Amino acid sequence: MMVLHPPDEEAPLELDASIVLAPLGLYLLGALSGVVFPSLTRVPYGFALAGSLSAIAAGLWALANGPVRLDLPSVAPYAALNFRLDALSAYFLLIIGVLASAVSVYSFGYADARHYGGRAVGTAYCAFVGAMAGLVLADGVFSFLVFWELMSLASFVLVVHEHKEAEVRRAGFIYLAMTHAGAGFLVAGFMLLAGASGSLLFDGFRTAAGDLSPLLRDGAFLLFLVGFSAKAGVIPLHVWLPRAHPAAPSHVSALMSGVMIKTAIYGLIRVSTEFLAPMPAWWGWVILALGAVSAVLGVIYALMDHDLKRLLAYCSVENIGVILLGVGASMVLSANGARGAAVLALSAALFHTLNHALFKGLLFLGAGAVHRATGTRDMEKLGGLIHAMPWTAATFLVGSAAISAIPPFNGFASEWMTLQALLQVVAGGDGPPAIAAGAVATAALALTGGLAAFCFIKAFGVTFLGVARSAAAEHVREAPAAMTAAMAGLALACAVLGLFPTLAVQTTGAIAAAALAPTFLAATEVITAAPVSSYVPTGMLAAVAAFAVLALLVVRLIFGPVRERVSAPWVCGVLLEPRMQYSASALAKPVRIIFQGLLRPYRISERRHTHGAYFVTEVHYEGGLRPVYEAYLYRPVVSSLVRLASRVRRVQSGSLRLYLSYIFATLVVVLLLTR
Amino acid sequence: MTPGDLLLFALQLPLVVLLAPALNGAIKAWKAFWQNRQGPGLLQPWWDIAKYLARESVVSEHASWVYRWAPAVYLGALLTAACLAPTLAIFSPLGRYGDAIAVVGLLALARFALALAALDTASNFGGMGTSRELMFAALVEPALLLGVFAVAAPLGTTNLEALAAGTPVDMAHVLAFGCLFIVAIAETGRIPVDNPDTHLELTMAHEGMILEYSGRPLGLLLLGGHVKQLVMLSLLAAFFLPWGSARDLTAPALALGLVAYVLKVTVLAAALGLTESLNAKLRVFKVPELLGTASVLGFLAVVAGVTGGAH
Amino acid sequence: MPMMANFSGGPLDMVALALVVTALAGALERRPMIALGMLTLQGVLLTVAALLIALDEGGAHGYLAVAITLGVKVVAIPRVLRSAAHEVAATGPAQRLAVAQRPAQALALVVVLTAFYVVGPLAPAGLNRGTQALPASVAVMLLGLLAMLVQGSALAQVMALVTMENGLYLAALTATHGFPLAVELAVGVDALVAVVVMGLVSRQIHRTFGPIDTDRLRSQRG
Repeated sequence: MMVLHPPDEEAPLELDASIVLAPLGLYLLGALSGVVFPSLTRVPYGFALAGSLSAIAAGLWALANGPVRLDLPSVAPYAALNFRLDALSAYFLLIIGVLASAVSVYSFGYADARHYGGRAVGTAYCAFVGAMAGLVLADGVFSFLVFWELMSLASFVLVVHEHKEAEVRRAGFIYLAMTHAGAGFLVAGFMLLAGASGSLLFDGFRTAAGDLSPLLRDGAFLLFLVGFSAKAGVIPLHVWLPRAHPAAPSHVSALMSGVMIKTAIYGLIRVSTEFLAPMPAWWGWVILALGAVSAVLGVIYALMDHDLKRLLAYCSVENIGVILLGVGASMVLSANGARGAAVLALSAALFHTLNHALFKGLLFLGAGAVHRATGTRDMEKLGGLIHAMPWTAATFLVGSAAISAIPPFNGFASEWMTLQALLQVVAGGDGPPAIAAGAVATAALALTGGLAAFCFIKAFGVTFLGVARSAAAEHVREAPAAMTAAMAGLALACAVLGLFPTLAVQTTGAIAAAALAPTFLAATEVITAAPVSSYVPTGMLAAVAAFAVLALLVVRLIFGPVRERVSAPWVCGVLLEPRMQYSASALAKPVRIIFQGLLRPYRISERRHTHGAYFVTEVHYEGGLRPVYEAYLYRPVVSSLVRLASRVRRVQSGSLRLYLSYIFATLVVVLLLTR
Repeated sequence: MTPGDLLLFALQLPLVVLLAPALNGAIKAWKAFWQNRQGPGLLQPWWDIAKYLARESVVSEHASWVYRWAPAVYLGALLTAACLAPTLAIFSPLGRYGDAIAVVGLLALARFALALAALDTASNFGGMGTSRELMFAALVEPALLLGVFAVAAPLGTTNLEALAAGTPVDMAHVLAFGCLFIVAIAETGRIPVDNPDTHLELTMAHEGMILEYSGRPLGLLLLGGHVKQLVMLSLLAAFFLPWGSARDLTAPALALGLVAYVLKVTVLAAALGLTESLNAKLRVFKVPELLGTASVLGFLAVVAGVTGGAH
Repeated sequence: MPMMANFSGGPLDMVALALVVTALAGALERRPMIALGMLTLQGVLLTVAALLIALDEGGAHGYLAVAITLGVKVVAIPRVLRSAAHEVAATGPAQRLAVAQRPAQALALVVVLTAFYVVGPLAPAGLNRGTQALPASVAVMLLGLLAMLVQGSALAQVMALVTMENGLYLAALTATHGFPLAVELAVGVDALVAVVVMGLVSRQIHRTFGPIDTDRLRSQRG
């Protein structure tokens, strides 16, 4: 049972401060080792593993023993590094530590000298993970923004690792642009809060929380929402995600999808529950709407994609949507006074954060293994890999089942909790509009679940099952032991959390209770689902397994042992060719047709011929989707920005005299102003 | 598990396993009556399943362990769902371990296993069936959850016993019944969504997924399909026709509950069969309209139910 | 929280809701024979409702009301409309509506739910039998009115009028402790006469001029 100590003021505990420094110090050492010893490619990953394990230890310690703070001496005014490890930080530190450990173990096999070796990757990797760890520990504006920037820059370096390809460079550019735009909004939000509270430390924000004017509070919330949404990948600010995640090496993509976008969720929860409390209900409705749109659109675009990693990137958008549904529901419920239900909703969101980190990390690592073995990420060229790569396939299957919310894995447990939270939103809605909005959110979550299952049946089925569709998928070998061990560990974690969700839910419940309730509440008091609904995964699994085994036994007793004959599949009398199998685009086509108003597919087919239409020399075919946000949001904004920029450019005429006169005019104006 | 649970379990499991194929046979006989012909006997599905269980199964050389284990997982998940759904009493043997959303999850598990197995054999009819069936399933999920929420939201819980304990008779529940009836048609793969009796591969959805199975695994899958149909009908009966269900574990209550349950699912099955006989199968891309109608009905039912409950 | 009993208000509530469902099914129905069938079904349901009330009340007057309902609404009115319906059905499988089918159906559903939302709390307890009957009757009346607005052929509009009257009838049956007999007779005869006249006249018009689309009928005014 986890008990949360009330966050009273403690003098910095010198002895215990080491647990904050240990992970950060180890990551720093890893980054340095990558610079100093570039030929030892595995050493940074070793340091990263050590740092991650110490992060796990620190997180568990802090959850058991209460918050810890550490203030490093400041080098300049406003430039202090303040750290605080409280329950929310500890939980996210745990998530970072668990996933980073697994990915570091994986990297021993994945990042050898031939692929992804070299000083940049190891250094940037350690810097990246270290920055994320520092981010969740940060207790002041300066520390937060420093680590935020470091995280963005380190991941940018990793994204453009294969910078020789134009696609990768473009992906890096869009990523950098969007992350800095988001950071701009964050800085603006922090400046608003700093102006209102007079301090740049989070403690100052906390004490000033009750006194903010509603206008300031709403303005700050919107700024933070835009800033964090850009990092989290909420539609429509997600355009960098499907480009950056496939471009990065797979172990980095796993961390980006698994943890980096979650730091935005951490920021959102920290800011809205601590600095901007109490939260009005309309914030919750906005977040519910964003969550529903992201979830549905994310999974539809995922279904349309045949690049393994881009599909997984869109699925991350979808899962961020699901997490936001939980966060939004908790805001609505807490504004309506249903504290217990609000705790349930936030607890569900936090639990899903952990689950998504685990299974998305697992899936990206699996995609990396496939890429390494076959040289391609395109599903349409793969098939039948389960025979040669049994471990990769089995762990990928566990990840697919988990992300599709199939019992008894962890995805279903968190989706169950989110649905219960939405039920409370619907049941407690005051007036038909609130009930209708809750019902639409529920329908969106249900549709997402169904389409996600479809998406991963397609991904797993086309990649691993059937027969190889091209030469790339023949003659493959299983991934090295380090990689399969890491994936197996993550798969085991998914299964364990699915069967024993209370391991995590007790913690998330306590964190949610502390976040939403102004006064200290005992942990066990508020962890309730709906009064009598229950879901006991171990019981369900036991029943399914028992029935399956029982059925097989009974049938065997009555009808004798099973007789099986292996033969070629019947395909109307001809020999089976790999092209006869259903392809990924064929599997997804019905959904494309149903949603074609949204997806707006296009098809260009040209024939080049000589001497008349019968002598065709070349056929050019191109098909694709026109994403709706690009036409209606990004193109107008970008083109108006470019127009504006070209108008402003007239100021730079190239004439020296003009520039000198600018300087002269500025001087005169400044003199006048400071008179 | 308490002794009461075990008793109910000992009653419910054989009831479900024996009744499910017989109910399918009854629907076939009813459809035959409407088509003015003499159909197969009532117990024909039992003999069919027995026949398949005894036969040799032919397995594609490209199939892996996914194909071999899918039928067992399918049947196991559906039998668990059948022991979760209230049948002759308002509580169920496994009711302590799961609720309405868990039933939906178990149906999803069954479908997941079967869909993967269909893609495993490297033949193309499996892919075709999977593609259509999963498209229907994805669109059915919102309707199903909205229908369940329409019944659950006024009560504030998804516990199956609370949902089966009796619902007020009002317009919201009429709409919720309409929504869940269409969902039942889609989940059991009946006309107008899918034709369960077709031999033409290009018209198959659910049948396409099990096309590559033969022998014992096919027998298990057929039994699973019948059990799934019975689960849907049991849920409909429990939510909307609560009369006669046993409220305690005494012999007269259980006997009455048994009779009432068989009557209720027979009537609902007859409604399914009648709908099949009076309608034609919809084109594949017209089915989303029907499922969208179900979602709208469910949505209106939720709004009306919670608003009405607040009065 | 709503009542948790097995069925609140009992069978009468279910009959009222079934009436709403048949009205929904028949109001926007374009095939005349099916619409007539729905109308007959409504008559049967009203007879059942009258029977339930008669069983509850006791007294011969109640059973007389049952007999009148049966005679007028199940036998007479459908009989009169049947031949007109046959002739209209012979001109084509489905008559047209003035608006598109799907939006009209959605509107019908919304109208029904609004009726329940608005009238539901107004049902006076004790004076009313069951909680659903009064909102149901208002819903049926509104559906009849909607059908009159939307349907294209004169026959369908006559059937919509009968639907409206059915709704009123249900309200009267349940709101007071049964109709006084005289009022019941009056209502029944009134409706019967109206329907007979309209049925005969529309059949005559149909025979003389062909289709009885009311929009085209306007061109026939003198």
